Amino acid sequence: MASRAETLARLAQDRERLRGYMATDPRMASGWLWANPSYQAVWLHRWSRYFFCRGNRWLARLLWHLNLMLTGADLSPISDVKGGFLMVSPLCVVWVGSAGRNLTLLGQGGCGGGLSRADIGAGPGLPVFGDDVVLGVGAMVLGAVRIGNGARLGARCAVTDDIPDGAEVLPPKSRVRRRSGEGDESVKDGASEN
Amino acid sequence: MKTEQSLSWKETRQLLNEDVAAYARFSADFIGHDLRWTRRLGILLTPSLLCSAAYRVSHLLWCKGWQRLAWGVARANYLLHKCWIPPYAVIRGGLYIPHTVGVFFEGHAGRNFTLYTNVYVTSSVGDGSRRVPEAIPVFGDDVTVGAYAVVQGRVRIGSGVKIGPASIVCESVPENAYVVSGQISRPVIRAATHPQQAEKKNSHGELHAA
Repeated sequence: MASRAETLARLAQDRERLRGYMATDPRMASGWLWANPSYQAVWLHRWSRYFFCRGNRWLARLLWHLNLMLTGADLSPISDVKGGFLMVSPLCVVWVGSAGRNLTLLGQGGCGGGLSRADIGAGPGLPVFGDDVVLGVGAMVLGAVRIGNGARLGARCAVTDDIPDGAEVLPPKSRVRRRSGEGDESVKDGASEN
Repeated sequence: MKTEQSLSWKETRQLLNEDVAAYARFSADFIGHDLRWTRRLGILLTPSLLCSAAYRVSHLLWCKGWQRLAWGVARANYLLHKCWIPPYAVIRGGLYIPHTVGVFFEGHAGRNFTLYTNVYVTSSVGDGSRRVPEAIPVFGDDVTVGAYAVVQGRVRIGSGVKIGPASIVCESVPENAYVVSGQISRPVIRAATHPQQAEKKNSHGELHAA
């Protein structure tokens, strides 16, 4: 459960990771951390989680809803994410599930319930993530599945099975085709051969 | 392409006019080709153009060295349109973003750039926890990026390229080529309705249309 001290400690780890990320690009040095939607989303989620655990459900819901309006990230307060949570872009992220330390989300996608109601520790039908997991752009994890430590999910993959430690899930392949003629006809042909 | 460049208010207005013209071109099929000032104002007040305008202004401020203000305008744009185009992105005239939600664009684009919904263009590579500022995706002129496409890393997309919906691009694409996603859904026809196609079952026991 997220106590006040635990929430602050996790937020400090989140800040450290986001600062490390911003430090790799000199153009981001001129932006304030507080004005960064990545930090706003994580901050609002942390305190939403804190109030949820204390039983102040209305306050938890208010922060959760505010997060959705401000940053476009839907991070449910029932999800327990450990410290070092880095979201490169909080846009269109939906997160309902538990995660370990140093979770990285590039943007969009996220995780949530699938068809089964099995509870493996995150709540009925919700996934559990290990430490140091990276989700590529738009990667989705759905259902009561375990994602191992250090797993890397490629862009736009949809995962509904357990993923072992250190595994990499490759994104769906896209093909480059040269246009043989002019107009849209050849584009159509390419798509149907695929 | 340079990141820092000189840009004047007049040039910014010119770029915006080109954006309005691009919007008018796309909407002509629905509303006719009418470019009286009322129509131009109407176009300028669409979410699509408000988003372009906010980006243009933030980029102008960035080029003039008012970086904090530039970030502020870009953040306001994010708040209003749920679209992240940082002030240092470079996009030439004729930008068209029909649906702004979920668009994330950190790159350089040429003229007449069309960007559909939920497109993600980033210089973040590897595990995403670090940025490589020089590994910017660069787009030529007349490029279209389909909905939910992802373009990542140091890639060069040639002029006239069409990137199909839900494509993932991590390599350069030559001029006038197109990219087709492996995720495009295929029509499935049930055995009961088309028994003559029973031999075309795949491993999932589904039938593929020819």
